[in-house]
Amino acid sequence: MEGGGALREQRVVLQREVDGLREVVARLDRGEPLLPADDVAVAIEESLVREMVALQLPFDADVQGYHLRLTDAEVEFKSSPLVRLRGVVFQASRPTLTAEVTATGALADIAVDPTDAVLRAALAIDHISIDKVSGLEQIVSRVALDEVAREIRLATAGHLPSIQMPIQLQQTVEVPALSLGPVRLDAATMPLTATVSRVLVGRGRLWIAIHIEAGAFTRTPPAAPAAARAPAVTR
Amino acid sequence: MSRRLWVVAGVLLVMVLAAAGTVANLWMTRRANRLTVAELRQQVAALEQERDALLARREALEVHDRRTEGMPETPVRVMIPTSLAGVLIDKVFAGFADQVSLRLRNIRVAKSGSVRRVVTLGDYDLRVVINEVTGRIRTGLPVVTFGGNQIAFALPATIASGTGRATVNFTWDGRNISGAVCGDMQLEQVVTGSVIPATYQLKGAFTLAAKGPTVLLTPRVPPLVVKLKVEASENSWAAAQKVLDDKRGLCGFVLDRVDVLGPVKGLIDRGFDVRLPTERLRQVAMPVAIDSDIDVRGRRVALSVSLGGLAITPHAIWLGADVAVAASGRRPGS
Repeated sequence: MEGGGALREQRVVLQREVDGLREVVARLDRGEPLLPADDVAVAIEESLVREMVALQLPFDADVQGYHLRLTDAEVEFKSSPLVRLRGVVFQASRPTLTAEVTATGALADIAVDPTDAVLRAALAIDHISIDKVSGLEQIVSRVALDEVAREIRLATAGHLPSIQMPIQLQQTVEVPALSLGPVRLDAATMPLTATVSRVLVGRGRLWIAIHIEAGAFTRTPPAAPAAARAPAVTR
Repeated sequence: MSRRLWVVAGVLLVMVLAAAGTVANLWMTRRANRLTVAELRQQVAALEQERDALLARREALEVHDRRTEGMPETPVRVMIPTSLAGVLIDKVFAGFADQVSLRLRNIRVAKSGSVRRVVTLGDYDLRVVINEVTGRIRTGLPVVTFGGNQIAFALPATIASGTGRATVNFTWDGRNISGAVCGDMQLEQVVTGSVIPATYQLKGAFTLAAKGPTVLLTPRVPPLVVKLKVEASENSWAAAQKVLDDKRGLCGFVLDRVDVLGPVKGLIDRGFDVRLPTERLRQVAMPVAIDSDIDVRGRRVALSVSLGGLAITPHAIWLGADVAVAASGRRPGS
């Protein structure tokens, strides 16, 4: 099975690309626009997302006697939101014998966090490869390293930090009470619900479509009566 | 060995066999999943072929999306389609329908003079206080147009209902001249009425302005002057006239010369020009903003945000931003 690691990684990357493209082409075949007609669209370049991912590093995890430390990020938005995290893995009992590790996956579950209305994405890891073993191969076989990689992938699933995108959505439209000369207007609010409706990747950018649903415009009960002001009257 | 021990041994044997079967099954499945390098190469090649075909098909099918006109060349781009912006604006304006009130208070008009018949017979002082005129403005359906980096709107605003109340105060100071026939006199009468409906067009525009990382819709609405007209009620006029009629007799000539109700009627008929200070309307934040800091495992990391590329086209509102992790937020060596 030697040499299969790179091919496996290539296969998972391609599979994500193909899955994404199939969806896009099917939509275009139906005559639909790439982004929903009435939804907000946010585009973020891969270099900025790479910075956002890198901020979350290093990531450390201990899995079955091995210590994983991911330190670098690579982001590529061609046909899928590809993310590669690189670092090292070593046996906890022999920290000097290290191997380079590459976790390949993608941004996933991009959603508007209902608590603070910001965009967040999870890191989904599809494949982990352990390469450039420096010393570790003397005590661990290639097959065992593949098994370690698989165990690390399973153990870290759901534990990688979420990535916050620098986009803030308003949860309400607030119109403050207005008292302009003779004109009085009560304060009112209109709630907004934002949900991610589609994610697209292409030409080095991540496109996130956000559906915004406006609720009922509600008048806020007036506060204690303010002192009457002189009217602005012209004659 | 007792029968009970045999049963326990039998159960244990079944459990061991079942576990062994499961392990063997898992091993065989994993073995089956381990593809040879040649098989993997074949799969990769097939996927590459499909990807390239899909990319070509995507290129062929993609049509120009007019919403992309005006798109800024910045690392972060936010597009709000005008179809959505129009719905939100309509909803906000509709929410204000019948919510705006007008209230005028204490408008004063005074007139004074003397009445002569060869000699000055006396002085009068007429004071009219419009105690309060209230009106309610009902907004209609706005006409909103996007383009040229602004959102223009025309909003019908109808002064739909309201009431008014005025106090008329007339004082006559008769000169104590020999043969004078009308002594001092004081009249006070309240006149009420209702506001006459009238419709105006409130026209203006919103433009985009950047304030730090926030994009604000800035209203530019010229001040609107509306004429608030009140029609005094028949009963009010009749009551006022009756009070004056009761004072006629010896003072009839004075009241005829002064025309107490004339100025009141004139004042009410002219209506009241009310200047709505619409130029002082406040800015409204856009529903999408660029964050100036983000959460990184529980700590806030500052971002440097430079807004630019703001545009309003007939199809979309565009916000652009150069965003980078501020120097203070970077890890050493990154």
